[in-house]
Amino acid sequence: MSEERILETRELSIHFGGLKAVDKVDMWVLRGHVHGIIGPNGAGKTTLFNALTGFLQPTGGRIFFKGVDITGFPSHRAAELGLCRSFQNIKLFKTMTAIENVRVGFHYRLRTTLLDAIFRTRRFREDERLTLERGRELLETMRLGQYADFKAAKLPYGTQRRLEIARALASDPELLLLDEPAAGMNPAETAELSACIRRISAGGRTIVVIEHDMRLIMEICDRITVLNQGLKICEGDAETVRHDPGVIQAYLGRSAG
Amino acid sequence: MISRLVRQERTVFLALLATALLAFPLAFRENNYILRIAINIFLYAILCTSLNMINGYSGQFNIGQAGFYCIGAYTAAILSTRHGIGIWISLPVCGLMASVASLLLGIPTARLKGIFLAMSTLGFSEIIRLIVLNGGEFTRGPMGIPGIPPASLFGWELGTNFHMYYLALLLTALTVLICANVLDSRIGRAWIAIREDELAARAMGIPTVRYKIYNLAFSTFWAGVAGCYYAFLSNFVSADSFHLDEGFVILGMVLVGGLGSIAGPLIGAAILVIIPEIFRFLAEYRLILYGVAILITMHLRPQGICGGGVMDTGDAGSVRDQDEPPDSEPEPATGGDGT
Repeated sequence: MSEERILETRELSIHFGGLKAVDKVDMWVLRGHVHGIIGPNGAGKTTLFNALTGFLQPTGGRIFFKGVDITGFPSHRAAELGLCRSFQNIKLFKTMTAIENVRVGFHYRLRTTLLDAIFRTRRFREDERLTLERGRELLETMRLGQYADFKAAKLPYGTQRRLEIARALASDPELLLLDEPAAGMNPAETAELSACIRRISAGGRTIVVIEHDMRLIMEICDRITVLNQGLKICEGDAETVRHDPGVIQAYLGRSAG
Repeated sequence: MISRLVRQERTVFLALLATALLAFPLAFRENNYILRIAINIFLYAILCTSLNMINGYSGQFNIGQAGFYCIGAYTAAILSTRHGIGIWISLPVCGLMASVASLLLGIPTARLKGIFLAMSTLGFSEIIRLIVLNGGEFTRGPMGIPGIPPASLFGWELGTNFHMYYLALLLTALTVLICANVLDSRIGRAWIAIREDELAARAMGIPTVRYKIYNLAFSTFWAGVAGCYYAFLSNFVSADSFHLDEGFVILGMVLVGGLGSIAGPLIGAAILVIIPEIFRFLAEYRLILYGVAILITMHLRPQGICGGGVMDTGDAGSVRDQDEPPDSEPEPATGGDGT
């Protein structure tokens, strides 16, 4: 496994007035890894994601993606560079079918212009065929093949979460950020998700995942960063994190005496 | 299999409709009243299709479409009476003028949402009308511009309602076809994605601000085209024709017909042109019918006659209104009674 840091933050801070949601966090993600971000509620995990994907302007510090400083880039630019995310509260395009949701994910990889669309040129037809064929493949990868023509809003909960991942994959991201992909899933759904994430990782993509399901995190992650109240309190592999006194204290509180 | 059947049915239906629309004026060749109603339906069908691109697909809220309609009409009037430019060149030029004007509205307001955006479009529409009304020599102020020559084709004058009917039909078909084609592409999907969830659209790499401006310019192009047609139809334009009421009428038609579908605006235009004609004996009170029609629609079918459930995003094969997926987990298996 290469030692390239595909994503790196330096002293990244996001403050809301007096609240230090993320405070001087230095972290990095190695290419090809599945990297976990954990921490109690309010630790700043989602805020960190929002800053990484351009939804929030950091108050201080810098973000590097593939060595390029992307601090303050608008979110659609981040997606073009190969950084795509899913959302903690599901944000699918509800009245569109599953396959159409995925087709939207291809957006910036296509070249169809207004005139191409009006005159149904070759470029348009090729783009449409690509999104349909590759879109169906992606649905298969996420075990969603049978749902292709169903409206996103009508799918079962766990399926919607997998569809979000499929849609994010459509932009062919080098780095996929998953925000609590297993939230609200039952154990069977979580197991299926875990298999899906491993499959995506085996395909060579780097994945950063925020999750509260510790079993899932310990199972799939190569490295884990632990945040608490905006600060990074620990980083390392599953074993290191599991035995770190700071982490135990953050989750369980200080032992008496 | 089923989708092929549906597609065949659709083709047959469209062919029948086209034949009926082409044959219709032959039966009413001398009846200018009937022809004029049909022409009005087409004119509003273009305006409604244009507004639907914004309100129905990109999910922004525009109630000032009358302003862009006005720009198209005045552009055509000025070009034809002072520079002798005919309708065929005028149509795209008027559309482009409306699109360019829409940038003046779209760029500063691209980050506004909901009611704030609606108010801006309302204000913009009024501003255009007032500029025209006080435009001095250029627009001839409250006197309007008379004497617009009739449309012609290869030196052949299209002066009668019979001819103008076919021109309106052609323009409506062109508008609907081009709009449907654009909707069924990455551009249309991006607009719908913005309507559904703007943040997610941005996360998927869609520059949402740019696409909203793009959407407004595309939509208002057709309002400009409609304005041009109107100028050549009535041979006279005046600021009085482009009050806010006109914008509300267009919006009302789209709401009644159904936002976010291709057929909705067409049906809405037909209904709300025909109903007031039937109730002509009510004189001024006829306008109440617009309000009543909107209220009834909102009460019985808030998504409009054709809107809602089936969002016609183009691909006929994939957009069936499928209900529950095969193994939707918590519910017991549906009985198969179909309801």
